[in-house]
Amino acid sequence: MLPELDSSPAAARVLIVEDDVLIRAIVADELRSAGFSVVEAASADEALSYLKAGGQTDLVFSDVWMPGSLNGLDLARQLRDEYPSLPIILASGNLGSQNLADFGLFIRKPYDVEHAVAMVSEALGFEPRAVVR
Amino acid sequence: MKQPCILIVEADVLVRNPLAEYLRECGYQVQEAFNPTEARQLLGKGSKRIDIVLADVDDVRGENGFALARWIRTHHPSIEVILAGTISMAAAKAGELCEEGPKLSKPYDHRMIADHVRRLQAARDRGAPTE
Repeated sequence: MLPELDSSPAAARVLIVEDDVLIRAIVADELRSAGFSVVEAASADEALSYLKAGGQTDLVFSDVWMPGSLNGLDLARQLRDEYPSLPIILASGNLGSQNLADFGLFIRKPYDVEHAVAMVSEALGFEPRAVVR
Repeated sequence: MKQPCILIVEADVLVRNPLAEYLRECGYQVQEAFNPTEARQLLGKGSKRIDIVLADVDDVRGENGFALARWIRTHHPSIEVILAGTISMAAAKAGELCEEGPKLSKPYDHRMIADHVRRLQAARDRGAPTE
């Protein structure tokens, strides 16, 4: 069953957590072109800072391996505990010994940005749509 | 008509995000950098040509906005650099940019940004949501 969301993706906000600014900027721009509102965090610490201040988000798209006091897995664990209904997509090129599916959806790095946008759209219950430029 | 692009350099997401959203609503394209290192990466290898940099003056991981401004003037002399030392100053600069910007109408009073940021920071500091 689709969530009760406004029919426009602009009603949905995505929190991107990615320490590589060039990747973060490209993914954020593609999501905005698809109509989403995007908040950019350079680390898991920033993401938690935003959420703890009451910042709104409908989905978290996070890299796994990041510098800082928390990595993406630590973030996913906290989100699962504190915001259990918040969809999470984790991105990593190195699975290690973790079963990332325990935390949410998974996309392997390097990923095609349009595929990432399609995953976000589907996770939020929208039809993936062509990027409008 | 090409939308001008502003790069915001600010370490606190609770300041950076409201400023960025305000400027986007004014019609600008906005790129966001956590610190001067990210700013230089975006200026050098980013996919968008940046026209204006709005940067925090304060020390961020050992490099302040003045040092970044000097680097930009050397390597990208056509880029306008605006430095702001406080949230109020940054919001006022954003308000000025919106006055000059591609859209005719401002989305809201820029002073509301500073108030909004302070509420977010207070909520974060006490660990409670504002809404």
